[in-house]
Amino acid sequence: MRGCEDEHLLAQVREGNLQAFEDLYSKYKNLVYRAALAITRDPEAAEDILQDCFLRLHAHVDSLNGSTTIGPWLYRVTANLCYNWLSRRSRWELASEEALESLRGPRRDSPEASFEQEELRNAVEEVLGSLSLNHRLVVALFYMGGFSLEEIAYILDCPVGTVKSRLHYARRRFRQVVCEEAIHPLVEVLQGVGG
Amino acid sequence: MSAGKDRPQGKRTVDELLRQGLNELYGKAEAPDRVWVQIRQQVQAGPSLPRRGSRKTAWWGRVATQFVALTSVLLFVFTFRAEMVRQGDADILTWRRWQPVRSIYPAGAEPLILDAEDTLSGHDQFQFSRTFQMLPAGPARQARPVPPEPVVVKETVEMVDAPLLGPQQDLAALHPRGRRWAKAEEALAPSSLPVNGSRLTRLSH
Repeated sequence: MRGCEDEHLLAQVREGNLQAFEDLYSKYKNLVYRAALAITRDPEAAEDILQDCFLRLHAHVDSLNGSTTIGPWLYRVTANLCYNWLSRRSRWELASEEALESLRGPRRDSPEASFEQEELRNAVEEVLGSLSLNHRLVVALFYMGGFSLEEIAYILDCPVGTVKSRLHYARRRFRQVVCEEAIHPLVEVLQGVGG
Repeated sequence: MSAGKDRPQGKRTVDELLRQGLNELYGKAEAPDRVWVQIRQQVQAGPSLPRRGSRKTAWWGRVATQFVALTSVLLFVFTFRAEMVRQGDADILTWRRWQPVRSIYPAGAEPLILDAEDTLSGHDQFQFSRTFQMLPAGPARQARPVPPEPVVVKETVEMVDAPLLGPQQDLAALHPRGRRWAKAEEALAPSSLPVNGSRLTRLSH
C-alpha cells in the first residue's frame, strides 16, 4: 500500500508535479534527516545531506522504475552522501554540544527515569562517537530506520555477514561502555536480564 | 536458567537500549523548513544554477588547480635547468674564447722578450726581491725555500701542456714570465749548481 502510494507520487513527480514532490519530501524528510544526523552528528551536515538527497531524487526520478522502493533508495543515497561528507572533512569533528543538546528530547517527570534516560543517552552518544562511519551507518539504519539485515546490505552494498558483524561489534562496544562507565541503571538492566 | 536461554534475552535488551537511546537522541529531531524552501527554489530554477551551501568544489576546478600548480613547478624546474645550461654554455664559450689567447705564441714565432724589471708588477717585484734576499743565505735558510707562487706554477704547467708549442723549444724561454723566472734563477744560482735543478725544469717534468 505504501509502495503503491510512493509509486503514484513518483509518477506525478516525473510529470513535473511539484506538489507530489513536496509530499514525498514531507513523508521522508525526517527519516533521512535523523539518519544523517545520527551518522554525522552534525546538524548542518545533516541539512546539506537532506537537501542533496532530495535534489538527487528529483534529478534521477526518471531512472527509478516501479520495482524500486524509494525508502531504501533514499537511505542508500544518504549513506553515499555521508561517505562523501566524511571524505571532504579533513578530520572527524564532533558537533558542538549545544547543537546536540538542542536535539535531545524533553526530560521526563520522574527523577529516576530522567536519570536513567540521561545515562542512556550519554552511553549511546559515546558509543556512536567511538564507532567508525561504517558501523554507525549500520546502527542508524537498523535501530532508527527499522530496516532488516538484507535491506541494510542492499543499502550499503555489502554482504549480510558484514552487517551482522558490524551490529555485533556495536553491541559489544555498548556493553563495554556501560560496564566501564559503571552506569548503574543500565548495568542492572543488562545483568538482571542477561546474567 | 541456562546460558543459552539468557543470551537472546540479553541481546534483545541491548538492542532495546540502543534503539531507545538513539530515539532519545535523534528520534525527535525535525528537519528545518528552510531546507524545503531551498530545494524548491533550486528545482524551479533548474539544475544549472549553483546550489545553496554546496561545499563541493567542481571537479574541473580541482583539476585546473592541480594542473596550474604542476605547470608552475615544471616551468620553474625547466627554467632553472635551462639557466644552468645557458650558463654552462657561457663558460664553455669563455673557455673557448680563452683558447686563442694562447695562440699568440705560435710555434716557430719569435716571442716577445722583455726584461724582468719591465714586466713585473708590484707584487711580483716584492716576491722577486724577497727571493733575491733569501736565496743566497746560509744552509739554514736554504732548508726552507720560498714557497712557490701558485699562479706561476699553474701557468707554467699549462704552458708546458699547450699543444701549439714545439717539443724542442725551450718552454721557459718562450713564455715571458717563464723567461723572467729563468733569468732570475740564472742570475741568483751559484755557478756550480746546474740549471737543470731549477724549479721550472722540475715543473716541466
